[in-house]
Amino acid sequence: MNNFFSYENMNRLGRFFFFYSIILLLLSFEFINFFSISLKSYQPTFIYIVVFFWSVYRPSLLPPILLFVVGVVQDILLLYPVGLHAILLLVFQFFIVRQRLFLLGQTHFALWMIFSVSCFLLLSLEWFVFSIYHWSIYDFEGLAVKGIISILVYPFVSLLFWWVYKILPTAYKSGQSFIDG
Amino acid sequence: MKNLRSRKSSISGIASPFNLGGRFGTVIFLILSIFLFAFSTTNNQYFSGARTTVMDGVSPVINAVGLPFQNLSKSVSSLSGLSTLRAENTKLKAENVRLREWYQTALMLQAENQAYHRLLNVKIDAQQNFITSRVISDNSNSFVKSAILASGKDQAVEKNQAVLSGEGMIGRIIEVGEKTSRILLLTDINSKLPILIEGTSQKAIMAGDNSLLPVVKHLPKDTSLTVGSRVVTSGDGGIFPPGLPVGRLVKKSGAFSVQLYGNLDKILFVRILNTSKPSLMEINN
Repeated sequence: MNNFFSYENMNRLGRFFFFYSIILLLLSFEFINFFSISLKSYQPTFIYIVVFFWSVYRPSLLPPILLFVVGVVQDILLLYPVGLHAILLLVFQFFIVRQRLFLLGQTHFALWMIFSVSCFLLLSLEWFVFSIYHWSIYDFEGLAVKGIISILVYPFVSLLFWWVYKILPTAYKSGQSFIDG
Repeated sequence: MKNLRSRKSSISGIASPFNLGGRFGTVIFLILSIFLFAFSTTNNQYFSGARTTVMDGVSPVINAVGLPFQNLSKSVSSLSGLSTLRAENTKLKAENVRLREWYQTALMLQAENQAYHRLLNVKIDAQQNFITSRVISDNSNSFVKSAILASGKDQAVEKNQAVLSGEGMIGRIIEVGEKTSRILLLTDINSKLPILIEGTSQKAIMAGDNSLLPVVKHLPKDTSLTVGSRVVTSGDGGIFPPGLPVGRLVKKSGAFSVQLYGNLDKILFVRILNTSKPSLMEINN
């Protein structure tokens, strides 16, 4: 009992709490209008940045259940077909984690480029599913601008994440290395 | 041994505060997501309850996060607006003089109209009043144009009520929670509104296409319409009352579209039209 409330444990819990607060804040930006409704469609998609960065550096912080819940809540709030974002996020994380060893050896610029391609692929998938779902061709221009803005924002968000990464408790478990996340 | 036991009972060795799911977590949740997706595409109506519950639950968080940004946005716009304030004041003074003249005309016409109503024994229209509500979340994106309001069943908001902002209609209520509700904006691809084009008495359907200018559909081939004509609700279908201002007619790539009166770029507050049935006493009077 005493051990649980020790300074060390509280310190670690506080750091995890800070991490999830930052993630929650970024995800809630999806529902806030900063400028105007006509510009709202171009707001960056933070969720893909979050999943990409943390799947490379600490995938254990984004377990499948969390991605599932976030995806479903996002679909419910954005009036999307429920489950669409959950599928996209889980598949995205699955592929990133499978290529993690390769990605960890890349430079920041290379990671940025890989994120750019992934982001466009994911947005194109969203566009494709919606076009099939409503059986009409949606405007891709707005989505392309959203993708470009997300790519431009990535370095700044990843800088913030690097700082958060440094203050997070080290990822060790008995028999688990840094690579395991 | 003692050290090992103390390590097990502490949380200091964990990589994440919740490691649920395990190795097969991704597969299990992926199957669940695919099932949900397949179910929601065919039976979307079953998710209405879940949507309103999540909306009610998440709205305080979104509200708390969004409030500082809204206040900042308001402060910036008020600062930048100071320079244009003088010009706007002169314009408003001139407009006020013109409106006073129109007010007198409107009073005269209202009296005349009431007299005709009495003469013809016209049935009284439903009484209308407004519920003013704050927009707490704007969920517009490339695919869906909607917003969440801070009023729900507790404030007598009901499904299919018309929502107005500024000078005209901007959407309708599609989901109502206890404390929140959702508007589907007129610009959304799923939005269809029966309209009447004033001056020609031509009825049509205004359909959203996710752009800022919804298109006018189902017009007869030989219809001659004037750009700039006022567009109002026709009242067909009985969902919305007739005569609600919607916008003015414009041409977009050869077809007629509607420039909405309601400014979708600046919707912080909206008015929800609460149409109640007149009581027997009101009809008798």
